[in-house]
Amino acid sequence: MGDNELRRIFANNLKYYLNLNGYSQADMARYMKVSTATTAKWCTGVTMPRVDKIQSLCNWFGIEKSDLLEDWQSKNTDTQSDKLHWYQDPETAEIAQRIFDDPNLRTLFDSAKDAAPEDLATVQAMLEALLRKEGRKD
Amino acid sequence: MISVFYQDMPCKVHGLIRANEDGSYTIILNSRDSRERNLQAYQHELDHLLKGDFEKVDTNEIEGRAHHG
Repeated sequence: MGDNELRRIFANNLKYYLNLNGYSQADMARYMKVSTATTAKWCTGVTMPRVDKIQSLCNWFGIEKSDLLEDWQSKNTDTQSDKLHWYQDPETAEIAQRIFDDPNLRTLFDSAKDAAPEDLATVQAMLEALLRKEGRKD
Repeated sequence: MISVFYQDMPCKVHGLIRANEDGSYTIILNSRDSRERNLQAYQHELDHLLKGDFEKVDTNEIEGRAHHG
C-alpha cells in the first residue's frame, strides 16, 4: 500500500470517528494541541499525524489503532446487521454472551472488537474469584 | 447505587459493568488504562444502564450499538 493510499484510508476513518462522536476538526485541534490547518490536512489525506498522536486519537475515540489505519470501511459490506455486531471472534462473542446470561455474573464489557476469547475468559475468572471472595458463588 | 473499582485486566478490556443481585451495579475499570480511557469506559458502562441494555438479549448487538450508535 502506498503512502497516498494509507493517508486516504486514515482520513476516511478519522472523519468517520469524528462524526460518530460528534466532534469537529476544531475540537480535535484543541484536544491534540495542533492547529486547525494541521487537522484539516489529516482529514483530507494530505498528511498523517505521528504515531504518538495516532495513539492519542485512539485514546480520545476509545478505539484501536487498526480502526484508524486499516481499510475496514470498504471491506465492510456494512449491512445494518454487520454494524450491529461488535466482537470479531465468534468465540469471544460466545463467552461474552455466556457471562451476560449467567445470573451470577450478568456483566457487559467495554472491550476492543478484536478482543481474544482468552481476554474475556480472564475477566470471567476474575469476576468469579471476586464473587467467591464475597461468598456469593461456590 | 453504582460502585466503581479499578482492577488490572487484559489490555483489550477497558471496563465492565455488572448488575448485582441487590439491584445495584458495579463498574470495574482497567487500572492499566489512562485516566482518559477510564473515563470513556465509565461513560460506556453508564450508557448501558441508560439504554436499558440489561433488559436486552444479544450482547454482540448490544456492544455493536454501543460502539457504532
